[in-house]
Amino acid sequence: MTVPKEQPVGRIKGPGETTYEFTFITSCKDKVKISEYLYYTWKDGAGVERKVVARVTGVEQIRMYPDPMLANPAIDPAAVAGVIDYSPQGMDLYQVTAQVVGYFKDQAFKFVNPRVSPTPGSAIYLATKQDLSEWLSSKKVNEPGGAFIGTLLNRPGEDIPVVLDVKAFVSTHLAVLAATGQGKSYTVGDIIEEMMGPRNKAAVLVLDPHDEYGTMKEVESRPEFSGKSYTPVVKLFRPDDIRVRFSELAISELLHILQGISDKMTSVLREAIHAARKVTPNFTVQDVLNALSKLKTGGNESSVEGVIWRIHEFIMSRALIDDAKHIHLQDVLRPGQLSIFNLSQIEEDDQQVIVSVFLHRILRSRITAMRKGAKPSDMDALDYPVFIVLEEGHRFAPASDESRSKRILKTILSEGRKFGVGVCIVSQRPGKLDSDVLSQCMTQIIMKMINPVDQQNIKNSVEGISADLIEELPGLTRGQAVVIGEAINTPVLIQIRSRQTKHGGSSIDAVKEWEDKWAPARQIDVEHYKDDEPLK
Amino acid sequence: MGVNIGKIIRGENQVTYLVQVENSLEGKPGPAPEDCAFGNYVKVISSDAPARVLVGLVIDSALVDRDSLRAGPRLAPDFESMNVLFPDFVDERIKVVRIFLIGSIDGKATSHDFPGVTPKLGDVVVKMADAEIKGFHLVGGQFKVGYYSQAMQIRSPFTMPLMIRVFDRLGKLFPDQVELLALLKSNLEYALKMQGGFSQ
Ligand SMILES: Nc1ncnc2c1ncn2[C@@H]1O[C@H](COP(=O)(O)OP(=O)(O)OP(=O)(O)O)[C@@H](O)[C@H]1O
Ligand SMILES: [Mg+2]
Repeated sequence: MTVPKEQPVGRIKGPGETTYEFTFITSCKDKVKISEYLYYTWKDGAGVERKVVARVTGVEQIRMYPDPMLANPAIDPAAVAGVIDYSPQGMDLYQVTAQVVGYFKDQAFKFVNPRVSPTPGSAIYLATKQDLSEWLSSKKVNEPGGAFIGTLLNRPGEDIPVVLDVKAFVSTHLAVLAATGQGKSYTVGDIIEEMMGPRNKAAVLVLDPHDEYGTMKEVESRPEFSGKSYTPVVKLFRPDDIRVRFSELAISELLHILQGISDKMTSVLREAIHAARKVTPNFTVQDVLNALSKLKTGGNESSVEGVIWRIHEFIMSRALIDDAKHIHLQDVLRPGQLSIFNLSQIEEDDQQVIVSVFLHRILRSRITAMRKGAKPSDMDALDYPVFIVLEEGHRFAPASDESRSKRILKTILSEGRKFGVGVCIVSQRPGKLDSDVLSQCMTQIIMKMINPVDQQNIKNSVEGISADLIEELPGLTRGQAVVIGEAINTPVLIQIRSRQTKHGGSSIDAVKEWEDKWAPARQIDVEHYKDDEPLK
Repeated sequence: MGVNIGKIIRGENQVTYLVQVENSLEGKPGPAPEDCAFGNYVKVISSDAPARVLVGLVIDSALVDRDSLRAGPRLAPDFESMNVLFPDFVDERIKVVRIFLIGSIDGKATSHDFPGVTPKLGDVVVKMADAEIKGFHLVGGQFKVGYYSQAMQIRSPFTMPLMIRVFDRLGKLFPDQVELLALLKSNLEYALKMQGGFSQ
C-alpha cells in the first residue's frame, strides 16, 4: 500500500514530553487546530507504509512580536515590523504538540501504536475526509449498530460524520455531562432517535424528571423512524400511571422509606413480611399489618406499634406505593419501544423509590432470563438487553451520601455488562456525581463545563481524557461536545447533529412570557387600607 | 551639494570606518562641528563609481594629538606661540569620526541591506542633505529603517543614544511616521534610562 501524498502542513521537530507525543513546526495556523487529526508515514516491520495518526494537543507560537512593539494600540505591530524591514509573514511560525493515536489497522484492531517516535524532519499531513470517515467511528451512518450523533467540529465544511457504536455504549454505559442548558437532553434525544430507528430497534426506558422527552412521541409517526415492516412504539407513562407494588419493595427499600426504624422494629418487620410472602408473593399492606398484629406478644408490643405507625405514615399515605397496580416490565421494555416515565410531578423521594425499584426489577429479570431463560408467559421477563436513560444522575447517585438508588445503580453499572442492562447517566453536576458511577460509564459525551470541581471529577473518573480535552470544555459552545470512550475509536470534538423530533426541554423565555401575560395593574383599593389601624 | 567632512583613512571592518575630518588649512573652511556631529547621515563617494554612494552614520569621534605620543622635550612649550610660529602644527592635532555603513544609494535605488562593497582609503565622505536622507528612507516607495537591527548590533555604549537620535531626526523628516517612530524610540529609552539607569 502506498500512501498518496498531499501537501504537507509541517515538519516533525522531535519527541515531545511524554512517550506518545511529538512536536512539529508549521506555519499553517488555520489548518492545524487543537484536536485536529494529522498523519505521518511510517514503514512497519513488514515494510508496509502506514499512515500514523496523531491528534493535535497544543499549539504554541514560537515567533511573536516583542512586547514593546505592541505598546501603542493605535499602531499595528506589522507596520512597525515592516519599517524595520521584517516581513510579518515570517511571524506565523508555530510549534505544535501532537499525540500519536496509532495507525489504523482495521475496525477490529482499531488503532495500533507504532511504538517508535517519528523521524525528525519528516513531513506531516492533514488527515483527509476519507481517512477520518474510516478511522474515527467503527460504524457508518445508517449502518445497523451505529448512532450518528454529529460531525467533526474542526472540519465544518466537510461534514465528517461521527457515529457511536451502540453495542459498545449499551454494554458499557454512557455518561452525558455538561453544565445546565448546554444540550445534554437534546443530545440524548439524538441518541434515542438513532436507537429507535429500524436499524437498531432498541428497548429504551427514559426516566424523565422534567417531562422533556414527551415530544419524542413523534418518533412513532415520522417516516424516517419506520422500516419496511417496522414502526417504533413510544409509550408515555404519566405520573399517575407509575406505581410501585408494595410486595415489590425490597426490605432495604422499605427500611429507607420507614424513617427512623430501630433494629428491633426491623426484625419484627422482616418477620411479618416473611409470613405474608409465605401466603402469597403478591401480598398487600394489609397482609403485613395482619401479620404484625400477630407478633404483638411478650415485649414486642412497642416495636410492633412503631412499625404499624410508620407503615400508616410513610406507606399508606403514599400514592406511589400500591397493593395491586403493577407495571409489567414487558410493557415498559421491549425491542422497538421507547418508554418514558414522566416523573415531573413526583416528589424527589418517590422518584428515588421508583428508580431504585425499577432498576432492581430490571436487573433481577435480566439475571433470571439469562440464567434460566424467560418463561413466555412471564410478563416481567426481559429476554433481551435494555437501555435506560437516567436524567439528573447526580440526584440518584450523589457523591456525598447514600441515596436509595445509588447502590443498585452501582451494581448495574459494574455488572450490567454481563446481563445486558445499559445505562445512560445524564448530569449537570459531574462533581456531585459519585465518581465510581462516573468511572463505570465507558463512553462520555461532555459539553461545556466551567465549574472546576466538575472538571476535576471528570479528569479523575474518565479514562483516557487528556488535559487538552479538559481545557477545551469551558470554551465549547452549545451543541459542541467532546466524545470519548468505548463507543468511538479515538476521542473526538464534535458538533452535535440537529434533532429530527422536537426537543421538549427548551429554556423558558421569561421576557417573552412576561410580555404575553402582562395586563394593566388592577386599581388598588386604597380605601380599604385607610380603615386599618395604624401600625404601632 | 553637501559639506565635505573628510576622507577615509582606515577601515576597521566591513562596516566601520575612520574618517579624518578636514581642517581649514587648504584654503577652504573645514566642516563645522555640527556637520560631523554624532548621528549625522553621511555618504561615501568613491571615485571609481560615482553613481553609487554608500550611506553611513557618524557613530563616534576622537581627537588625536600626534605630538602627545612623541617623547622628549618640546622646543617651545607655549601652545599659543607655537600656533603662530608653526601653523602646520595644528595639523598634528586632528579630529577623526567613526562611521557605520547602513546602506547604499545607486542612482535612484536605495538599499538598507548589509553593504557588500566597501569604500577605499581616501574616499570622500560628505554630509547628506535632508532631501537625500528622506530619499534614502523610502525603499521602493515605502518608509523603512531597515538598518535598525543591524545598528543595534554595534558594540558601543552609544548605540542606543544613536538610534534615539535617528528616530528623532526621522520624525521631523516624516511627520506621518511620528507615532510609529515614537514607539521604537520609547522602547530604546526604556532600555537606556530605566533598565540601564537602575540596577535591580
Ligand atoms: N445541538 C444543538 N443544536 C441546537 N440547539 C440545541 C443543541 N443543543 C441544545 N440546544 C438547545 O439548547 C437548549 C438547552 O438544551 P437542553 O435542554 O438539551 O439542555 P440540558 O443540558 O439538558 O439542560 P438541563 O441541565 O437544564 O437539563 C434547548 O433550547 C435546546 O433546544
Ligand atoms: Mg436536560
